[in-house]
Amino acid sequence: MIGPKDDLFPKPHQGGMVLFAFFIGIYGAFVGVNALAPEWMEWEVFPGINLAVAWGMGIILATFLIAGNYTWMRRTKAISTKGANHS
Amino acid sequence: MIHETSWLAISVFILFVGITLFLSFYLSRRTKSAKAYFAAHGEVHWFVNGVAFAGDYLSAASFLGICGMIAFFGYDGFLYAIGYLAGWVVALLVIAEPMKRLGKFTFADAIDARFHSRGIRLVSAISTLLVSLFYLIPQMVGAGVLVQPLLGFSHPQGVLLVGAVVILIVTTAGMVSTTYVQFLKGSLLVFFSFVLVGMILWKGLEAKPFSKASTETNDPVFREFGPFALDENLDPWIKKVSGAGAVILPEEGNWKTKPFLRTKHPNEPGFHVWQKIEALNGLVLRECQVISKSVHLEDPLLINGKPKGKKVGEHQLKPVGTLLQLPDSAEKTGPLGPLAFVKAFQESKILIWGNDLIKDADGTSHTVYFPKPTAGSDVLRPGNLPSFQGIRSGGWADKLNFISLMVALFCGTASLPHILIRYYTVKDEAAARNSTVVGIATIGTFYMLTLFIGLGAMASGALDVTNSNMAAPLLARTFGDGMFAVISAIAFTTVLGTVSGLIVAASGAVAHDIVEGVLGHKWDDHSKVKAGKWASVVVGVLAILLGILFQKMNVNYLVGWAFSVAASANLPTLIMLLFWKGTTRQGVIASIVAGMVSSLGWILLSADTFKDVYGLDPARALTPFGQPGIVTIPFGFFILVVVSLLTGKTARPKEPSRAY
Repeated sequence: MIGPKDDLFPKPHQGGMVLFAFFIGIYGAFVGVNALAPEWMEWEVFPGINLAVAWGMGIILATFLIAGNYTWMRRTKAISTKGANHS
Repeated sequence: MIHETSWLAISVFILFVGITLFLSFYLSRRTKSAKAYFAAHGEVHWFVNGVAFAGDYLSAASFLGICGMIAFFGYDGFLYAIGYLAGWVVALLVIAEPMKRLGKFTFADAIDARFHSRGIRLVSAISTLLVSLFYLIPQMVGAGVLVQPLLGFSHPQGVLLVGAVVILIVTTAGMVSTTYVQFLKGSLLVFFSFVLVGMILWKGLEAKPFSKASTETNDPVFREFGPFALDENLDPWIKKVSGAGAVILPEEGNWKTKPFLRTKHPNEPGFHVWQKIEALNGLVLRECQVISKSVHLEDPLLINGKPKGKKVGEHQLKPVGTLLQLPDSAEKTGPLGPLAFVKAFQESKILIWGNDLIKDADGTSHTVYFPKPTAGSDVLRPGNLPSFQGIRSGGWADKLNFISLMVALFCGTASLPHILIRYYTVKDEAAARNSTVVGIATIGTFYMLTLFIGLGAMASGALDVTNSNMAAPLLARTFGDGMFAVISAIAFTTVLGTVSGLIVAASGAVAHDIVEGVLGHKWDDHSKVKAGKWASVVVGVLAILLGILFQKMNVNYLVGWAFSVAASANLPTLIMLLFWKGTTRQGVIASIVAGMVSSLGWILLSADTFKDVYGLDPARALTPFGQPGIVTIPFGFFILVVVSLLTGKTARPKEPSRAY
């Protein structure tokens, strides 16, 4: 299937894939614990804040961090390739 | 509960719809070409597009459904929020840039970029249509649910109104007006959610323990009596709560097995229902509320045995949603920070409500709403929602069902057609990426706020025990009519925006993919816009009809279906095209068809559908659990790989000239 049109499908960004694997890890573990050991979620991580709330909010914050990090990665990459072309 | 029509709400609502329509007509002058109609010229600024993503995505199910679920069942609603947001990581890291690079107007453009196959175009257009329609039904049903109490319209009138406004928005300026309506709606929703959460935290929490007063009031305070010794004569108590001469009704028929006691005065209509709790030190009686549906009366709905209303001899449901006890038995907390709010909730005792259906021999059915004092720490843990209860108690089927739902939410987001087409409205791949980031920030922030809005509603003393979807607007009402008006109008605009996006996606699938791509009809630009508009009208009318037909269906349940079908049909192809060069045309077609048919088939054969749609015994269902995602998404991948392997070798020598 390798033809000239395949440059339409370049390899996904490697740093992005690392972030993706990281996210699947924390989301997958969250879903797993909720399904298999929901009683763990009642554990109070901080006084008055249980694991369910902390982990849930943590996932939302993680999406923000991933989004920010990915934008930053792509931006620096674009600049460096530009630099490489000039040299 | 009786919802009074608020003129302020109606005025704000008319203002919102007016602005929306004005914007659409204003923008219509700039929307002449197909590129403008289907993709807003591809010139929308990434920031605007990002907020519009939030507008598209934060549908009525998100706003009303999640807030309502948290307000009634606690933490489980937040699980939905987390699942809905998680899918955006897939959109950002995997889908956003290729989608923009490969496509022009529709999802089929991107899928078909390598093969130029009519077959692929046809199946992906059908999957777009199917998912759009599935997603349209809950939006339209949600609109009806919302309009009923707000504006006093009937369900069909509400659906018709939404349908008409949306058709106007879409046919005037297509994706251009849809985008700006979404931008407006997304910004307003997040802004006013912040305001609402600010008000909730500022007001703090207040304890309203059970009352022992003999007469009832309209305040959200419920009565509790006892403990009575088990052999104690209850007559003095009956006299106190139901008047001299009142009696305990005999425990007959289906009431026999239930833990309820009914008191009634022979000369007055109506009765009271009390929940019997046998405590260590005797019998405790707690006030319940009951809705009876009679088959004999002209107006079949009775509240505590009396006609619904506010006059003498009539009765209305009392609002619910109270905290019985605060930490350290304080009466009020005063203003709280966000963490202190959650902490106070965790350590409080909350009054939530259960319900029980009891049928009399004459066909009258009674729904008894009974109080369930619950520790805050139990409300803030997973497994309270009836459909999630299995994760704490049940067997593997319940646990798999939950995992399957969370997988479908994760995989479904980046496969929803109205989300995918938004990638064509921006200039380039960087803009597609940036707008996804803005979308994640906006949507994530909103979902964080939903936890506070939901918990705030749980303690607002303003909820309608029969309708969880109204939790957010009713909470807003406790902060004044102005806030109620704005939140209701935003909720309504929410429906308008999401429905418009879906209709544009569906009309693109018809005009651009099926008629032009598959049937090979060549259109000039002008006719293509015209065809898109006609397709929008047809899809809009179809949505109105389905919205009326499926009136009784649970909104969130239907959204779950849409996510499952989208994820099963579209995601395997999207992912494999990017990661596996061995993907063939036949593999893509087979995978889309397999994902679509298997997920739809699973849903149609599941226990939920047996019970709610066909009215059959759910035990006869053919699937082990309700949510298909965990089985049908891998199945889509499997079919794609197998068919590609089978067809790849034979097809290779003939490539690439022969495409279909």
